[in-house]
Amino acid sequence: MSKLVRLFGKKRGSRMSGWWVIGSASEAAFFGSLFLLGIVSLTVVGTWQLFWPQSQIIRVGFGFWLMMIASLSFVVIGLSGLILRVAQTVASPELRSALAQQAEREHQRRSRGPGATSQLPNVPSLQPFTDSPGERLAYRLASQRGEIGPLVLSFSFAAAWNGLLAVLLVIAVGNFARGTPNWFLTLLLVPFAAVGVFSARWFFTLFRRLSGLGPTIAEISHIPLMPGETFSLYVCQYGRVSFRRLSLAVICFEESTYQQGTDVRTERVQVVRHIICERENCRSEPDEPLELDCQFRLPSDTMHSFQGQHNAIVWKVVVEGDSTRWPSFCRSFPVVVYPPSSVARVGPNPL
Amino acid sequence: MSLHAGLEPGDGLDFEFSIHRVPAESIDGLEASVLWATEGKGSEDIGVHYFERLSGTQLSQRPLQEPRMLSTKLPLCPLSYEGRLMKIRWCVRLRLFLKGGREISAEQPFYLGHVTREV
Repeated sequence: MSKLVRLFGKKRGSRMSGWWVIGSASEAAFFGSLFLLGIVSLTVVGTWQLFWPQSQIIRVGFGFWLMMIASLSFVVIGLSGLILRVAQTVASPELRSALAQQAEREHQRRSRGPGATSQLPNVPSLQPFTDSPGERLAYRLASQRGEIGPLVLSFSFAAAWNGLLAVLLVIAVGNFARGTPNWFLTLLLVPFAAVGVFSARWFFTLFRRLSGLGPTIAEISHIPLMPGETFSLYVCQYGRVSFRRLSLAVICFEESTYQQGTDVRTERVQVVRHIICERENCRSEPDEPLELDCQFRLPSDTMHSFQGQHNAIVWKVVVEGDSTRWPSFCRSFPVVVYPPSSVARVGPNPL
Repeated sequence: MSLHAGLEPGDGLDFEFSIHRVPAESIDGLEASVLWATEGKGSEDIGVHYFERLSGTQLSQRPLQEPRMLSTKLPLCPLSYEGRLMKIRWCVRLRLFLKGGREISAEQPFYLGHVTREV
């Protein structure tokens, strides 16, 4: 006796019971219907306007354009969903991945010439790291600045809020001058002024910290870093600042991106931390910047950099300091670590 | 399926497989792949290093119980990794497609490199 087709599945560990074809076919049918609905409504609205432009039923206006946008969105969502479901039904995840990788390799070969396909897939490209030569060592590392964003944000907020406050203030003063004071507006100005003062203070604190600490420059002897090999690092801190403690470390982070409901979240965890050098009670002057020259050997069992679509292993050189006048700061410079057995490697910069 | 558990990047990987207790006439095709996949908190990433598809006709040319050998040279990366948020796992995966839309899949994990066993 043949088995009955089960319409509903049940998750059993990592697999699903039931007949998965029914689910996939239903999803494909839903998206196909959506696509057809979009096509039909688009055709009706378009042809009506083309052949009966004087008709009062569908006139060009808000309703017409709303119908057009809704029909187009049905077409796009339906078509993309249908293609995705059909691809998922027809091809296994391995076949889809193999085809996508083959297409990517072909694209690389065409764009860079024959033999230019990457020997190390899923390892970040070296180009952004090697296009800036250093003065002391081969390469100057690009800083990953996390300070400019808050500064711009604080400036925008403070400017907008205090602009609004100024307008309200002019209106309130005008009311007083005309002898018709608006007490509600006058009282409202008090909390508005407090927020304005705090936002301006926030901006100036960030600005003072950024301008007072001065830039940090990091240079490295070679890129990529190889496990088991020694590399040199030069760090220069500008600005007039005294440090209680200044440390230089190589840190490995894991980054994972996942969907939670309708949100896409990224979680970052520090997994490895190697302190390269540490100084206490040191000082940097405008004419005599603080310089650190260090050497470090990465352990031979170090995991290499990895860049997937949703997951990554990221290595950074991190400069952290506790200043006497400023809040503690942290500046990071991404680097790339290759797997130990890889031979593809960029040599020292001839400059 | 059978193969060595710990392998080094660039090594040759030879694996053999045989199919038992499945009638030949019910098989639509078979996909053999050597791949890595991430596990953990993030969405899954997958990378296929080796892929071969055998049709039902190709499979039925020899008895299914007879071992079949597939070979490939392993890549230099990504290495197997066991971290806090994510793991990178290598495996040989066989996916048997049966007539009527059913599938049977089998996996043989292996460890590429010797970076971490556990963090």
